[in-house]
Order: sequence, then C-alpha cells, then structure tokens
Amino acid sequence: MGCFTTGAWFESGTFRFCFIMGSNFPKMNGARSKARSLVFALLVASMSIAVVQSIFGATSAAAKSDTSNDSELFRLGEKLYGRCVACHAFTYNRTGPKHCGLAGRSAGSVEGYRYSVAMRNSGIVWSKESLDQFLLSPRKMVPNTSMGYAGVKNDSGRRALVEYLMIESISAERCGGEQDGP
Amino acid sequence: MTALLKNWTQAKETNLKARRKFLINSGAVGLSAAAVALIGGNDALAASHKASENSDVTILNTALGAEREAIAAYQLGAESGLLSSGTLSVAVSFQGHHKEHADVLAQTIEKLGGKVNEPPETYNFPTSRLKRERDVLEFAASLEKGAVSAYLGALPLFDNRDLATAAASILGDEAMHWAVLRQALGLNPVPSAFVS
Ligand code: HEC
Repeated sequence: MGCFTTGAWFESGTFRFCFIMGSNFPKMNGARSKARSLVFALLVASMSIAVVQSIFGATSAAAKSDTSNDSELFRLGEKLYGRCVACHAFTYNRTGPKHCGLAGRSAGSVEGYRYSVAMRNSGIVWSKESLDQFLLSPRKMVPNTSMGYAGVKNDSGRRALVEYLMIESISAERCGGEQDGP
Repeated sequence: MTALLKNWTQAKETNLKARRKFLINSGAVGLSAAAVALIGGNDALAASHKASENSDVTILNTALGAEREAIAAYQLGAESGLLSSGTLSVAVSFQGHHKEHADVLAQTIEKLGGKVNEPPETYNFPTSRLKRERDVLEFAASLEKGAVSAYLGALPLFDNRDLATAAASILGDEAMHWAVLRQALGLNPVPSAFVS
C-alpha cells in the first residue's frame, strides 16, 4: 500500500501517518492549492503531535509523580499489563507462561510451558533491569523468541509495568499457593 | 443489557437458528471471501522466505494460540448457562470470527511453509470467578482488549507487509468486539481515540 497512492508517509516516533492530499481535495490546484496543502500538512502534523502526546499523556502524567506516588505507578503498571492479557495470566500458563514467580526466576523455567529454544537458552534471570530491557524490545534481547510483541517503547510506562510485575509476580495475595490453576 | 445491544441482538436472533444450523452443518466456519483475499493469491509470500528462518511464522503461531484460546473461552461462556439468549447469540457470532481468524492464520502458516503448532490439550480459565453473566462479559472484554494490544504489538514485527495488513484487519474486528462488550457492560464503548 503506497500510502493510499497520493499521500506521503510522515513518521513521528514509532508512528507513521499518511498524508492524503490531492485526490481528497479535488478543487485544489495552482498556488492556492499549494498553500492549502501546506496548511493542511501543518494541521495534520500538529494533530500528529497531539496524537502522540495523547497516547503517552497518561504515562507522562504518572511519570511526573512516580517518585512521590508508588500506588499511582502501580496502577499505571496494572493498566499497561492489560496489553499482556491476550497471552499471559499470573497464575496459569496460556499462550505465554504464567507470571507468578517471575521476579528472580530464570527465563524459560516454568515447568509445563513450551518455551522457545531461544528463551530457554537465554541465560537471563528476571530482574528489574532485565525485564526493562526485554520489554523494550523482546526480539532484540531474545532473538527468535516466540513472544511476537514489539515491546513497550515508552520509558516511564515500561518502568511502571516492570515495577508492577516485580511486585505482583511474588505477591502472596496474587500468587500465594495458587501457582498451578486459575 | 443495554438498549443498543438489545436491538442488535434482536436483529441477530432472527437468523441465529439458521446460523447454528450452518455451524453444525459445516463443522467449522468457512473462510469468508474477504479473509481468503487477505492471504490468497500471494504466492510470493511462500516463495520469499525459508520456513526455518521465518520469524513471521513464529508470530503467526503465537497469534493462533491466542485465537484458539479465545474460541475456547467463548465456548466456555456459551456453555456456562450464565448467558441470556441475546448475549449468547453475540458470543456465538464473535466466536465464529475468532474461528475465521484462526483458520486464516493456520492457512497462512502453511502457505509460508511453516508448521502449525499443536493446540494444548486443555485451557485454564478463571472459572471460579465466572458466576454471573457480567463476569463472563468482563472476561470476554478483557480478552478482546488484550487481543487488540497483541495484534498492535505484532504488526511492526512482520517482515512481510501483507501479513501486517492482514493482522490489522483482524485487529479491527477484535476492537469492534471489545466495543460491543463494553457497551453491554454499560461502559463507554469507545473510551478513547486510540488503542494501545
Ligand atoms: C502475543 C502473545 C503475547 C503477548 C501479547 C505478550 N507475551 Fe510475553 N510471552 C509470550 C510467549 C509466547 C512467551 C514465551 C517466549 C519464548 O518461549 O520465547 C512469553 C514470554 C514472556 C516472558 C518470559 C517469561 C519466562 O517465564 O521466562 C515475560 C517476562 C513476558 N513474556 C512478559 C510479557 C509482558 C509484560 C507482556 C505485555 C507487555 C507480554 N509478555 C505480552 C507471549 C506474549
């Protein structure tokens, strides 16, 4: 798809936007149209910035207070964990391995879960640092991992998610005595 | 159930019987023409990569795993006895979509020369927490939302951009499921301008 054939790609961070010009604006021609398409491009560009800000707005708001308010950080992490629940649960294996016991365990070590060879042989031990690196770009840290997920690119959001995982994966309330079933 | 969902389910109920019959008769849901078009006629797809080094196959297999689980989850919901008939028809319809997604994914894996992963023998579901219709709807909504995120996270990883297009098409469908389920739960069906 060539950006709808008449437009041009605009990249902003991890996002690409298609500028559609010309065909959507049939009356535009000559200098006036150039001016108009410039205005339009600027409009879209500023919208794009707003878009990126709105996507990351929540995380940057939380980042501001993350030193002062742990529970807010935790809540943000919990919210971002929603991105993982197509494949993961804390207490039982699904498409991905269960997360109970994650903090401090060796990568690829949950019994009864079929890991990729890459994950089993990665030699990683899950800590704040290794989780942060993995979740930034899973396939960069563990090439050929079967976790087909690009990663959580926003730094403060990812920190909140890691914080949440470190706490929740060893919490007695969440994981105590319930390691092998829902 | 909200009025909007009710309208929709009423419209659906009229052809629910026919649909059930179709599901039973065909054994599995056939691929819609649109789904076939997504992956069909693209033999360059198969030729361009060696299966052994094709990470697209890995991504597709993982997505297939999640789709199969969603199919099983809707089955659980449908058999739970907790769903009213209107909700049941919605669940059956959504399950049908997931079956179509799973079929497309499996066919694509094969087309790429890859091997389709075996499904697990059993699935774990938080059955002890599913006590009312609302619990089932919430559970389904969380899976659909997760599925949207999962496809969003898979999209940039595909080497083959046709596969990214197909994944985006599935993503859109899962997002609609999520919205309808939220509506049924009395939540704002479209809570923001972007999914994440
Ligand atoms: C599309 C499905 C999918 C999604 C979405 C997903 N994962 Fe995974 N995850 C997997 C699979 C599959 C594995 C096993 C990887 C392997 O064996 O290479 C895995 C493995 C992991 C591991 C290593 C666990 C271990 O026991 O060594 C961590 C940590 C992890 N995922 C965290 C996350 C987090 C956090 C998210 C959400 C941001 C997430 N995953 C989203 C499928 C997924």
